[in-house]
Amino acid sequence: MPLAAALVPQQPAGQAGLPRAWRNVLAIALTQALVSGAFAQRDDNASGRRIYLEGRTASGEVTANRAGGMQIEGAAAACVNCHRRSTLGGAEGRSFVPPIDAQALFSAKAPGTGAAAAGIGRAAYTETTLHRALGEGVDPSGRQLDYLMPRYALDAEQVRSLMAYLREVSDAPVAGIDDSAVHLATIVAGDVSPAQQRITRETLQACVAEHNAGPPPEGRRKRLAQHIGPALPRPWTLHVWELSGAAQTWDAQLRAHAQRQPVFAMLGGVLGTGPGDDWAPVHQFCEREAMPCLYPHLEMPPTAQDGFYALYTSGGVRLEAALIAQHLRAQAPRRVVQWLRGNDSTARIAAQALSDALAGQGFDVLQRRIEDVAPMEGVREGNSMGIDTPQVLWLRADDLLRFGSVALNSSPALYLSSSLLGHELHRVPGGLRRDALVASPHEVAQARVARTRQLTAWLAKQRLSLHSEALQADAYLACDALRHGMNEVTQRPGADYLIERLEALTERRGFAGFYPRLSLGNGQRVASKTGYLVRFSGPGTNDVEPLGDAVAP
Amino acid sequence: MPTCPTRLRPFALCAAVALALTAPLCRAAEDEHAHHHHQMDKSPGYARQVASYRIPQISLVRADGRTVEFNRELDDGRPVVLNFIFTTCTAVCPVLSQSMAEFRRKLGPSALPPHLVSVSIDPEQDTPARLNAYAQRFGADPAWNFYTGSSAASVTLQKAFQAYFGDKMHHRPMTFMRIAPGQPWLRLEGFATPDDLLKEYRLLTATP
Repeated sequence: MPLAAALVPQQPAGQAGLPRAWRNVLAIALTQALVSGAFAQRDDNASGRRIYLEGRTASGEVTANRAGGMQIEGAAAACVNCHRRSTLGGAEGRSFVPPIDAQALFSAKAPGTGAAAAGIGRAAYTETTLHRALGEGVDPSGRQLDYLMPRYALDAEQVRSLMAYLREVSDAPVAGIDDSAVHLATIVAGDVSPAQQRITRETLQACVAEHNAGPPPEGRRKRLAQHIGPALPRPWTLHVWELSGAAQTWDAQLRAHAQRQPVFAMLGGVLGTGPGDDWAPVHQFCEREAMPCLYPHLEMPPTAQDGFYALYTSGGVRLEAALIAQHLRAQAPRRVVQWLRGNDSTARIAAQALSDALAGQGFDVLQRRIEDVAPMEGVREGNSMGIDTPQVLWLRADDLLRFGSVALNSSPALYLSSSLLGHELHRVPGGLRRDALVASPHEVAQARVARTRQLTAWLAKQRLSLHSEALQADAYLACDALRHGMNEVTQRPGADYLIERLEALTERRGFAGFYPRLSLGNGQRVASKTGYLVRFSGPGTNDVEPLGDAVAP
Repeated sequence: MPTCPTRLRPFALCAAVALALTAPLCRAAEDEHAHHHHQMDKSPGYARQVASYRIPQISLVRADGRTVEFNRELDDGRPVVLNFIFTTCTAVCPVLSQSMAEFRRKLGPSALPPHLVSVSIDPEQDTPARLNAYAQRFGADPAWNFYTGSSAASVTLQKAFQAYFGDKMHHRPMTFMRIAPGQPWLRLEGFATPDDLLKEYRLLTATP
C-alpha cells in the first residue's frame, strides 16, 4: 500500500456523494499523490471487505484449498467464518482461531507471546509475508499455519485490499465508550404503563449500580490499597430513551437520542401494547447503527430477524403458535377457530403464524374477531360448531374475562397464550381452566420455582421487591448478559466482538431468566428455542403442569 | 458403562497441541522450513482408539422429520461412520462434514457401503429443515443421515461416545466407525483427512 494512502484520514460518509468539482476543490490542499491514494484506499477497503465477508472478488468467487486436499470457494471460504466480523477470532473446542486485527497482524510478536508464537515469536506481517501466509500457509517466522486455515489464491492487489480492510475494522471508532464510562440506553417505546416503566428502570439501574460497585470484597480492598489488584470495570451509565407518538417517527427519535448521547449498547427495553406499537423501527436502528441491542421484553421479536446486533430472548407468541400447531397436528381436528381482537397486532401475527403452520394440513383454520360478534352470538356460534372444534384464544386477560368464559365453554380444547396474558396465568378465568392449554415460552413447575427464587434473592439484595416476574426477569437477564459479555471484551471493546462473545458464552453463563435454556451461536439471534403447553393442576389452583418436556416445535 | 482400552496413543499429545495452537509444536521442527503445497495433504495427526460404547435407548428425529430409535438406525447391518456437528458451527464442523463428504466420494462404489451418520449437538436450533439445508451444502446422498431431537437425547448420546464437553462451543473434532452391530467402535480424535478416513475405513472393513 502506498504510504500516502495510510496517511489520509478516511472521508466521512457524508462527503462520499460530493460532486467531483467539489472534491477537486478540497484536493487543492493535498498533493495529487495523496488524493489518488485516498480514493485507492476506499476501493481497496470495499474489495477487501468483499473478500473478507463474502468470499468474493471483483471477478468472481474466492477459491482456496483446505488441508487434506479439499477445496472451498465463495462464502465457505470467507475469512469471516472463522475470524469473525470483529477480526478477533475465537475458539471452538481446542481449535483456536487467532485474532487477525491490524494491531495483532502488523506488530511483531516477541518470543513467548501472541497467538501464533509457540515460543519463538514472529515478525510483523508485511504485504509480502501476508501474501505468503495466505497462499502457502506459512507465517513470517517460517512456521506452518493451522490445519483449519485454508490456502488462498489471491493476487497482490487483493492481499493489499484485505490489509486495508483489516485496518479499517481496527480503526473504526467505538460509540458510547469514553474514559469515564460506558454509556447504555434502555428503550421505553409507545404506550407503556408508568408502573412497567418504573419496574424496568429500577431493575436495570440496580443491576448497573451493582456492576459499578465491582465485586464487593474487591471494592473494599481497592479503597484500602488502590494500587493493588485489577482495575475495576469501567462504570456504566444508563440512559432512558423514551419513544412516543407513531412508530413511524421512532427512528427519528432514536437518532436524536443517539446524537445527544451516543451509547454503546441498548439494554432490555419495553414496548407498549397500543395498536401501532412496533419494535421493528428499534430493531432496524440497532442494525443500521451497529449497536448491540440485548434482550428487550417483548411479546415477540420483530419479523425481520436477519440482523446481527439485536438479540432476543424467545420467539414469544410465534413460538406459542408453533407449539399449538404441533399439538393440533397430532390431534388432527377437522376445524380450528382462532379468536382475536382485530386491532391487537400481536394477536394478529400470532394467529397468522398458526394459520401458516397449519396450512395444507387438511383442516380449516378460521379466524374470528371478537369485536365482530356480541358475546351471546359468540356462544351460539361456538355451540353450533359442535364439540369437536378446538378454539385458540389469542386474547388478553380482560377480553378473556369478558368473552372467553361465557362464549367458548363447549369446546374440547382451548389454547391460550401466556405472552398475551403477560405471563400472569393466575388471570385465566376459573371457568376456562379445566380445558385450557396455555402455550408458554417460560419454564414451569419446579424449575420455575428455582428461577423465581434466584430472581427474588437478587432483587432482595438490591432492596427491590418482586412486582412483575416476567418483566424483572427479562431486565435482569439482559443486564447480566451484558456483564458477562463485557467481561470478555474489556481489552478490545466493540459491538461485533461483544455479540460474538455472547454467541459463544450464553449457553454456559448467566441468568437464563424464566426460559428453559438460553443458547446462541453464529447467526442465532433468538436465545430460547423451546416452550411448553401447560395445563392447570386443578380448577381452584394457580399451579400449572407441563404436558411434556420443553420442545422446540 | 462404556469401556475404553488404555492403549498408549502416540499421536494424542500431538493432536492436542496441534488443535490448541496455530503452529503445532510437535510439527514445528519438521515444518519450520517447509512451505510447499504438498505439505497440506498431511494430517495434523489424530488419536486412534478402539473402544466399546453402550448406546442408550434414545429417540432422535431424522432430517426427514421421522422420530426414530437411534439404536435401530445404527444397527441396520451397514458399517457406520458417525460424527457430531451443528449447523451454525463455522470453524470445525464444515471441515468435518467436508471430510466426510470427500471420504464418501473417494470411497466410491463399495462392497460394504457405509451408513454416514451426523448427529446435531445443537438440536434445539437444528430443526430438520436446517439439517437438510446443511446436508445439501455438503452434497449428502441418501446414505448420509442427519439427526436432531431433544437436547437431553443429544447430550446422552454424546456422553455415551465420551464426546461431551459441556456445550457445543467446546466440541472437538471426532469421527467414529463401526463395521457391524456388536463390534467395537474405532474412535478417531482430531482432524482426520478424507484420505485418513478412507485408510481407516478400508482397514476396518478388511478385517475378517
